Amino acid sequence: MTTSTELASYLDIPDERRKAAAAHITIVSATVRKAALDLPLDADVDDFRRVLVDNAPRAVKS
Amino acid sequence: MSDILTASARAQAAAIAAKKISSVELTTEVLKRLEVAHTATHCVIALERGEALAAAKAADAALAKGQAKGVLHGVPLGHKDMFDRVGKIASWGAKIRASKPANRDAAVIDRFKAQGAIQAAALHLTEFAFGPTGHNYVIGHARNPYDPKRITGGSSAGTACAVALGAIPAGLGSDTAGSLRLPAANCGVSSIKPTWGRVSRAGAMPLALCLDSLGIISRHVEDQALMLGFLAGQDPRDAHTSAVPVPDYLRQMSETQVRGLRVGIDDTLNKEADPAIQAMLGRVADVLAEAGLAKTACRFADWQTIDHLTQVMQLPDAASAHMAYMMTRPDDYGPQVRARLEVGHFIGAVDHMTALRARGRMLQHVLDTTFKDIDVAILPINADPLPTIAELDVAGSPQIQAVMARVVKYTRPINYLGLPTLTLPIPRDGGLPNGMQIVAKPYHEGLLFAIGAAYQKIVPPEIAKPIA
Repeated sequence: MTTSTELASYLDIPDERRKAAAAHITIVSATVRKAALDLPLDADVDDFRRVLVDNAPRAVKS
Repeated sequence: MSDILTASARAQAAAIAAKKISSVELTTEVLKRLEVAHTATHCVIALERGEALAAAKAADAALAKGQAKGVLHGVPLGHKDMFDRVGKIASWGAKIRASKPANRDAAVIDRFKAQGAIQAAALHLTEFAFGPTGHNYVIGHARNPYDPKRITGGSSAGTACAVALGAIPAGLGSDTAGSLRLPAANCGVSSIKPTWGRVSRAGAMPLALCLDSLGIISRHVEDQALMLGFLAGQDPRDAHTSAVPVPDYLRQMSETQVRGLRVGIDDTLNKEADPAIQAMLGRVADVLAEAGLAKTACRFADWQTIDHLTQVMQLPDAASAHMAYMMTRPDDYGPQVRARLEVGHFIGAVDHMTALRARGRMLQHVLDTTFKDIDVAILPINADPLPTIAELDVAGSPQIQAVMARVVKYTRPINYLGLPTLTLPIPRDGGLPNGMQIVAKPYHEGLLFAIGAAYQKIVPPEIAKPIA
């Protein structure tokens, strides 16, 4: 397992900020894992743009 | 003169076209007002007196020959200092800047020029547009037009200050997590954050391109309708711009019937704001009801999930954009932006990809549930009443993520969803400014402008004056 001291070792980050960043990411990463449980295999990055366009008002759709 | 200075850009253009005022007269006055506004709020990065007056003189000469250029012919504006302009190096609100002058205008600057607008100043922003409060540890903090001890909101602080004080009627800003909405709300003016991909970001300094939207801060909603009409649209220079045709927003603003539109209110989410904010939201909802909208309940059920997904998208995107500078010139960053950029390096690629892949389905889910029985939703912009600059002066301390999370609690998730959002100032009744956001479905900006125009018939735009 990668530790917070190993991550971003190419940056000069004080330990206090390194620990705070790692702690914060632990929280948001847990949310991502929950979201992943509902995500089908074929979910795609480009779905987002398609959904935006699909929900445009009919009068302005091409 | 004071009447025309408090008018919309659209009205100023009409006055110039009718030769009631010359562009040189208006620009001269705007330059004076920008100096005064800067003294009060630190809103100007570069006052471009010589170029603005030369452009105004040329505009007057063209008009005399019957060669007016466009819908903003001769109107002086100011914009956030993050856009490429030929022969100039934008400050980005930072010590680190591009190594050479731009050889092409940003798409939005180009489109303003094509309409005859003049740029009188480049305006303050948070360092690299990465900060929601108006603090800037490199060029100095912006100060609120109503109370210089208080924050302006960020990152488009200078545009909001200059608009609020009546120096300019409108100007450009950008929004990655709230950067148009927070300063507009905190300075008591309006803004439009369009649907993601509606306005080209070509030549604009990126923060996190997966979330960045360019938009307008103005006192009058009609100026947003006018300007989005020529700013929006597909641009080969920005592959993410949409091919959805651009409607006549001014016509939609004036012809859309707002009576009977359903405005959703999420009481559960709103209760997480300070009671004073909840009261302000109620007041704005009452004004909307007075305009004929029907209040109804709605629920943004996954708000915190969406907020976390936004961060997992935004932070690595910004960290990647800045990676070269962060490795070679870390000490040239201010403490806050440096600390926030570092966090992006701790997010794994799988998490980032998952947040990107989940985005379309999350948006569809919100449209199918939250927006199932409503036309628009109303949300706070700030979770708390306007704080002082000192209260939020956390620089790069370890608590920064928590403090910033509270500031952008109601704005950041909207960027993940990419939805268009109109900021409307609260009725102040002599108190400090604040604002609420009206959120619509994708590409429904025209509906927002119609609601905003109806709102401003009841709560007219105002010019900021310091509160004693």
